[in-house]
Amino acid sequence: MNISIGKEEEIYLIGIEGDLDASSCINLDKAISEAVSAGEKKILIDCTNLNYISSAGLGVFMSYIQDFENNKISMVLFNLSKKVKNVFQILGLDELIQIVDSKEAAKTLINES
Amino acid sequence: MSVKGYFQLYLIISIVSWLALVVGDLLTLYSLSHVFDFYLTDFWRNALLTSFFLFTFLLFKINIGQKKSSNFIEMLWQVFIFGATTILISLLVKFMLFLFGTPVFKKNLLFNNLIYHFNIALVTVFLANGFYVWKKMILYQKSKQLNMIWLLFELLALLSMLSNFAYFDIFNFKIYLYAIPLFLFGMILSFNLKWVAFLNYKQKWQSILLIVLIIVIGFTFLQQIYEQHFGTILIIDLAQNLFIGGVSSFILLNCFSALLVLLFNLPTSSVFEQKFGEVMIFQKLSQSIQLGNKEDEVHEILIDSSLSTIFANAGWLEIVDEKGNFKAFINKGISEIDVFEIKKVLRKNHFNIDNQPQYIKDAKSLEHSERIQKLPFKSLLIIPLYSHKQKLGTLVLLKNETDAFDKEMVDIICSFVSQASIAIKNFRLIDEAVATERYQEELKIAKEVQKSLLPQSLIFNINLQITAFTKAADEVGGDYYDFYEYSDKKIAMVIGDVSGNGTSAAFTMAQMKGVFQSLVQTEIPPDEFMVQANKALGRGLEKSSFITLTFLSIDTENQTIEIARAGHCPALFFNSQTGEISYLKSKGLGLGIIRNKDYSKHIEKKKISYNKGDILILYTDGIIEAMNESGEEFGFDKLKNLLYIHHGLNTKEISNLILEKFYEFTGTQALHDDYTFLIIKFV
Repeated sequence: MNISIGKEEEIYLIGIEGDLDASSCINLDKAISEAVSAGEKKILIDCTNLNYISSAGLGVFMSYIQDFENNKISMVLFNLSKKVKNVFQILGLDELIQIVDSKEAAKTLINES
Repeated sequence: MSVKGYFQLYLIISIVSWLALVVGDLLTLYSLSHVFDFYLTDFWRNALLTSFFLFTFLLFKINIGQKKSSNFIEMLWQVFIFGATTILISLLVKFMLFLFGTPVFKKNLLFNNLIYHFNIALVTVFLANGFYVWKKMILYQKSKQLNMIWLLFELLALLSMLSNFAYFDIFNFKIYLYAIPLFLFGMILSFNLKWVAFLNYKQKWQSILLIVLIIVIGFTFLQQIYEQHFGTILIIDLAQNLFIGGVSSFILLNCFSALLVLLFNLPTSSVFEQKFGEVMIFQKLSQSIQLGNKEDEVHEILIDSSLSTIFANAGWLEIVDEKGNFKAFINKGISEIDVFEIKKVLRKNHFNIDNQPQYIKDAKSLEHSERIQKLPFKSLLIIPLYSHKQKLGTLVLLKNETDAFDKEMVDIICSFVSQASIAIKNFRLIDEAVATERYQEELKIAKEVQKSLLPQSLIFNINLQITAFTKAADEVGGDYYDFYEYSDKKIAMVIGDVSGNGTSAAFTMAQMKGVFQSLVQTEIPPDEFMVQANKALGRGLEKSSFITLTFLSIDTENQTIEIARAGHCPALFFNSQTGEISYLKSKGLGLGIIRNKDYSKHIEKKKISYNKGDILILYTDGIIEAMNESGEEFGFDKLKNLLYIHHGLNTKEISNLILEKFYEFTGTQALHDDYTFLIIKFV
């Protein structure tokens, strides 16, 4: 799995590529926690190339839900494959995490909040 | 016969021979002056003497042969003690005679010969002891050739006992025909003094002292023998005995040659000793693991050896663990506060003490050294410990003189450090291996626990066909299912998946079972069950862990199913009346994702009616997400189609069919997740 980090204006962009499983999820956790400690308030996660997500990967997103709420940080995931999106939906995470189809939609959504 | 048996046999023969000799000789002498007719023939006398010599020597051959070969001082000490004791005894007898003996008594032939026989015994034992002790010393680290020479010499020496049977005058030239080769062999052997090299300085002095004393004792014996040779009429006279003469000259020759070698070796001894000490330290370091020491002991050995080898005045050793965290600190000859001050000065001068050996010739000339002016130390040697580019620590040695470390010292300390680094690394590797082993053991236990949490039998009173299948992946997984039968008309069941694997998943599952078994008793509705379970489990769960769960109760009287889904894969339902097949999707968030009151907003209960012939399949994501070789997932559609085609079969047959198709799909792929399913057919 690969993590790419970018910055577009006020938005912190994390791209995930490949399989997000028990062994690789620690990298994502690191990337997000770095963004949080750097004081970023708007985080976009690019899931275009995210092929698979395991429960450990879901655990990473889940563990930030409360933190983000408390610190007024917003996070939006975009461009999930049908398979990956389904995993989020089954677990019910789609109700707690903002998931949209495109980068533009994600930007619009995050700038509104 | 055992060695001990031989020893006892030789001892008895030697004592008996001597006693027979004494009694025989005294009776012979007695019969000369009395009307008494007994005399020992020369042949028997010589035979007894030879037997006494031979078996006494054999006795010591066994006795000394068994001793550890490297304790030279102890062996020399033994020779000395024995010689000194016998000399003392004989001197005491002489003294007593001098004080109390009447002139007649002193001239008494019988008495003199009795005393002389005692002398024979003492001299023989002294010589036998000395002879075999020298054998041990000479043959220390022997070559094959040397061994051969010794064997020849020993044979020749023992054969010379036979000369007892022939009368030789000491001035007879024939005796030299035999004595010369014996002497030559003895000479060759006496140059083999390898053992001297293995003594340290102190031991060499001890050896010199002991050898001098042994020489004195040897001469005292000889002096006594010759004194009596000229002073008394003797029935046996050792002064003319080729064997005794040969052996005693051999021993004395060796004593003199050893004495010379020892004296010449004394000056170089300390250098040799130091090198030898260094080798021993290496050995100590490299063997510390086999000897069952701890890593701490390696630290101690390293700093102690380093300090003593180069005579440093003080030093300290810092050891860090794999993550670079401080692990151990040993300071010798310097206080912790002073260490701290010195390190501060080094840091201010930008010495990087972590990466490469550093040598500071005069620490007091460094900048900012005010704080250490009071300390006696001037030169500093800093050597980091490394193994495979991983830093293990730093060794610092201090001396009171400026520029006090020469290149040789630095080299030897560097090699100590690298040897110690290897030892420390090995210790850590072993610890790691032990930890892995323990982890495997834990997994085994967790697997057992997990297995015991699942229902052992699926026999119910309720009129339903139920088949369950579960299989854990290689490691411990987190799939769980359970039942609770309220009556023959109502049953509750649960299927769930704890995120993550391993030991913690197994214990979360155990909690899950506890929560299920206690909540289910109250006939709680499924959605309320989830809210309560979320509350109960949320407290103990790790921050990034969650549980997915489906809980349902079946009422066969009213033919209804009440079901709630908490993030779990939706149940598959086949309606036999309409032929419709669908996943029972409903809103439902996994347990432990939000751990406050808001959870109840994210869960809902669904109630459906069923008819005879309907089928419900509950399963975990291990079934859906299992991949084949080309990375495709088994998926929801395949499961759906399978049930659609085979809904006519009973649950056991459906289960077998699903498994068959499942394995056909995944092929030889190793499965990374547990997979579990429950099939319920309403009849």
